[in-house]
Amino acid sequence: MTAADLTPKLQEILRSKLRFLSADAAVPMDEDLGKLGLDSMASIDLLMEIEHQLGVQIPDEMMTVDTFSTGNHLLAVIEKLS
Amino acid sequence: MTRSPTPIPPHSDLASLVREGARQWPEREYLRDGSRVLTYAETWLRVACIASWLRARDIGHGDRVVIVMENRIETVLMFFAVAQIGGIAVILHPQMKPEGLQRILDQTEPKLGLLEPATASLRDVFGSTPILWTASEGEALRFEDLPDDSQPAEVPFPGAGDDPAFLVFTSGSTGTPRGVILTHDNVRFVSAAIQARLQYRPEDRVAIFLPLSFDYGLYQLFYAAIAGASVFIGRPEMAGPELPRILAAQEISVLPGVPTLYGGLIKMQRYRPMPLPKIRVITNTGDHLPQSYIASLRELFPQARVHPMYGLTECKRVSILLPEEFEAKPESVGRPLDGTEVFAIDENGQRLPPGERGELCVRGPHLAPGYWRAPEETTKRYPMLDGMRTLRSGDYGSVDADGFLFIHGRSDFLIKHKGHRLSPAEVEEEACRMLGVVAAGCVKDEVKDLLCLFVSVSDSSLDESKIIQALSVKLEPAKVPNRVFFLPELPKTGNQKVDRKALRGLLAEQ
Repeated sequence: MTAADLTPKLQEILRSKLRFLSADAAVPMDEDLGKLGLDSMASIDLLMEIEHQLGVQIPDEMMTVDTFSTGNHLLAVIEKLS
Repeated sequence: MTRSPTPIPPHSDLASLVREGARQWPEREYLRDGSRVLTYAETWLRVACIASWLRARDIGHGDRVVIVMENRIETVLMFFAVAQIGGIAVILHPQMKPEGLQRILDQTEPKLGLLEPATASLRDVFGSTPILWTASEGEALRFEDLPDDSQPAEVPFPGAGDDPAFLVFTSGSTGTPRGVILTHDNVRFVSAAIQARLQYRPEDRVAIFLPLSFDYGLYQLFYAAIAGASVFIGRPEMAGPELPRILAAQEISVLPGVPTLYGGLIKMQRYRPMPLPKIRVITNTGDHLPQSYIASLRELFPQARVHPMYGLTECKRVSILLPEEFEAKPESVGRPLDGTEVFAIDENGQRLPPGERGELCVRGPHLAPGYWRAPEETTKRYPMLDGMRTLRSGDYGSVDADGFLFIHGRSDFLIKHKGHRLSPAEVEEEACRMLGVVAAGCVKDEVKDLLCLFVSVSDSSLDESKIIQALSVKLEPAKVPNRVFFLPELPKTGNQKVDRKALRGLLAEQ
């Protein structure tokens, strides 16, 4: 998967987990995911969806608050893996 | 091995927890946040410096200091410094909205506010109140610039044990947040009584992932100080996929949590098991801990003592179950704290015999004096019953002949449906017992007269008819939901309870 394919796929996954994001708004990649409604439980679901749908496995040492803080942080980690 | 709790002078101020700790075990670690570590002696030194600075700014006995920050060591230091000068600390949730903050500032009229970059947008709400900033460059008044003397002038505690030490704001019955007043005596009594049950040890490291604005998170500081233990100041957002790693890296041995935290941990370990530390004590409050969670936690942490508990901010803690009592009373939230009393009353305020269900009432030295500047609500919640000051919990439960408490639902949220009074908690619990159901919230659609269940599921093959069919086997017909709606995630309140009010809001959209 190329980086260009990756972004919309990740945004699609993110949208389903960000309950404060209105349906017609674009997924802001630099905004704090917590503020967009991603709580700890939802971030576990997000991890599962990313790994399942994008065919990557985020290694243990990258499971940090920072990785799950914004869309772009996640994207950077996934790009490194794929 | 049982240990007697550390003896505590019954009437001493809250800051003495740190002051005494610095005297008794100066070199032991008290606070850590992942990058910094402070011993008891270092903590007290910082607290004493801040206390002296506050006095120099003419902030003293009875003055309020409002802290709106994410969980930080600075929050803890300021909290104890305010206690030392006889002031009243108010720690608020960092995701506080301006409107809510305004209502609290109107009530508390603080002399000082504490903010940080994450809460900087709230600056204007404070108006002319001076703000002390943490981790913010370019501000006039910065926490990092406070005097750092090696021998600060000691500010003696000027108050009395029954003075307010801090306020904990909770959602009131009217929608206006109400500040529960906790006194130095309240806290000292309840912390010792809780420590007598939970028995934290000097070698323990206690993790705080709950916001310090939530009393359950805050009080961990007190229990740890009584035991001479260490506290890891974590944050709620750490309770996601990274939780197992953080628990291991920080060598956590005591984990206080709410059901959603444990739900996440169990889910994560099932999905991808990671090495976990030897956790010794697990406590739950905030909402009912399903038995399936208890079983899973015992598998993940075979050494752990798991304690279901019950409490409300108005007296902090009501009861704690010991693991050895679990087999006999698996659905109980334990016995009342030593030196306190709990009983159920009927609708007429009459005390009910053991085993009968009613509104739970609490008595003891842990009862808060009431709500800040809200005498009417205080009298309503803390009436005189049989000549004794009593806290009406608003929760529906029973006390059995052996003195064990059972919660049958929050009476504020009792549902009347088809002529039955039912507890949404019961329906939710039954739904959560189903394989594949992660969380459930039950509300009444008053317009359509339907009992509705919202669920989030990990098994996508579950559909409405399957859930209704399964529940009809477990619940009386009147308690079986008419409709089931699926959500990726259930809305939660600031205290991590399922937000039934938000669910009722969703009903209008269904």
